[in-house]
Amino acid sequence: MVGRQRIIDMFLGKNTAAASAFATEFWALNRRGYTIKEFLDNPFKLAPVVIEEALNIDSDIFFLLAGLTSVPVMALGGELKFPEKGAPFMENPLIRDKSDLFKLDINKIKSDRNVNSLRQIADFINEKVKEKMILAVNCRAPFTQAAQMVGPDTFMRMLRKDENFADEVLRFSTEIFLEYVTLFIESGIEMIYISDPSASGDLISKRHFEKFAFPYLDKINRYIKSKGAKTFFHICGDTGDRLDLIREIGPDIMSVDHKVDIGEAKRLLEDKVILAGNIDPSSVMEYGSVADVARAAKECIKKAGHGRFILMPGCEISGETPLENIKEMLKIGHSSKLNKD
Amino acid sequence: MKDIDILKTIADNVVEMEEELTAKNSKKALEMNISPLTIINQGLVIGMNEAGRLFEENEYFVPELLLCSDAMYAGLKVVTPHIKKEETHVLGKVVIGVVEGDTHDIGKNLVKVLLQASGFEIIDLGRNVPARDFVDKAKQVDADLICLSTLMTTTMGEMKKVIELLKEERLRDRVRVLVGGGPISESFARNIGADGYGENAAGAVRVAKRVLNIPDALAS
Repeated sequence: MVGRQRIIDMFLGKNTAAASAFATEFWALNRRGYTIKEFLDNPFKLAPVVIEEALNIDSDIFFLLAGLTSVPVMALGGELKFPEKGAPFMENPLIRDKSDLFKLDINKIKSDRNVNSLRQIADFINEKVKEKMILAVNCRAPFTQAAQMVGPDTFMRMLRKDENFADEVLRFSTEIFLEYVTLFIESGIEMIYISDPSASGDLISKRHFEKFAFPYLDKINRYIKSKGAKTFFHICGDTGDRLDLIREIGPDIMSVDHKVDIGEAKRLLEDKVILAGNIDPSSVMEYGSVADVARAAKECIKKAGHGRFILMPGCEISGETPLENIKEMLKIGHSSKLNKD
Repeated sequence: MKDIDILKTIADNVVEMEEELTAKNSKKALEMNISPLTIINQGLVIGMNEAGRLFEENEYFVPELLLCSDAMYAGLKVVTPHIKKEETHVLGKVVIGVVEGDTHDIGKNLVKVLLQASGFEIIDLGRNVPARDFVDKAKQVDADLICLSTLMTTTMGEMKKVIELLKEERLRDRVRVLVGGGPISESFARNIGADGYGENAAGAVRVAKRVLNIPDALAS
């Protein structure tokens, strides 16, 4: 059975033995010595590299544009710096005060050259890999995107000192998200990978999550589903205390980081949301041996492999992660007896 | 008001994220002829340490800790110009930064604040810092400790590079290395040969003191 079918069967309620590498285009490019800037500048030239690397592993889901989640903000005038290594970042905040917010023109997203080329490349890569795997396009959730637009430290302070402005930025950030994501869904992308690292329990309290992240995640989740696409949520770090709220939102898949007790996550999400996780992406996947990976994979399956479950690393893997470790994880996930009907 | 009362009030102001009140009461304490170092060590730092404790216990999160540090800095701004140079005692020199490829610096900033509050001199290299820059700066300022931070799994390898460069430069015995950040773990720190792993900002301070053999009594 190919990966794509495993995930589709799971959406249909079957307990297939699914596994995904949490490998992204960033991972593929890094493996082959290319930067994310080179990909953005000439995506069609490097698309074959991404496709080849994606098809080389038997992953049920492949994640695209994880290194380029800043592009919609860039379309609005955000000045991004592309370091030699790592993902692009904003050098200066796009929004410094309320007047900046009102100056931003959301229509620029639809006509932006980078946005359009990424939409086309996502479509192109999807066509090449979709027989084998589901392609999930990464869009940054409103909360994390708002933090990026204002500046992370400023946004964190704003949550306590200027709630009204934080809400205004979040509403606008949600509009950006919807405008951007619609382009991909209308192109035929079947799954949206929504990442919200700033909404982690490592950064904000559950109270702040409920007030500032939850309503917007709920809104975008409903929207994407209403358009017929599936939602894959990932929040880095410890999310254990807010999984009840995630269950309430009800994404199709929730991926948890290695800091979360996977057994407890399974209990909290029940079978309403498909749980994915959560092998340590660095200590085990990158720096561990094949035997370490096997041990950690079996442990995850033992704790959470009943019902619908996708064995995955707890977060995106780096380009340095040994291929044999990735393949071992996928092999164990795909042969898991616990998951099978 | 007694000395002890105003110092406790200052500490409470920091914990309660009251920037203006912290500055106002620090000024008041100076007017009461309390020494600047006493105001810092028995007021501002006590408050910041308490904030760090609340952070470790998941009572406070990043927004709260940032506002506590704002309050502490507001107090320091009032008090610091009154410190006589010979009064200062530095526990150690620390070069800190986010490794190359990563720009998430909130965690690094929090560690910096708490290390400063504990009496360390900090040289902050900022974010997206090449491995070579950490080593060059440590050499230049004769640092005791390098603190490396990253939030991304994709840039963790940069930490190892810093350690290797320190070895190449024959500085490894002289400079300790502490690593931390979201995806970092104790075993990762061990694997790359770091001297310590800071699980969170407050934990990083404890580990910094441990790896530099600084007894707790000497620290604020």
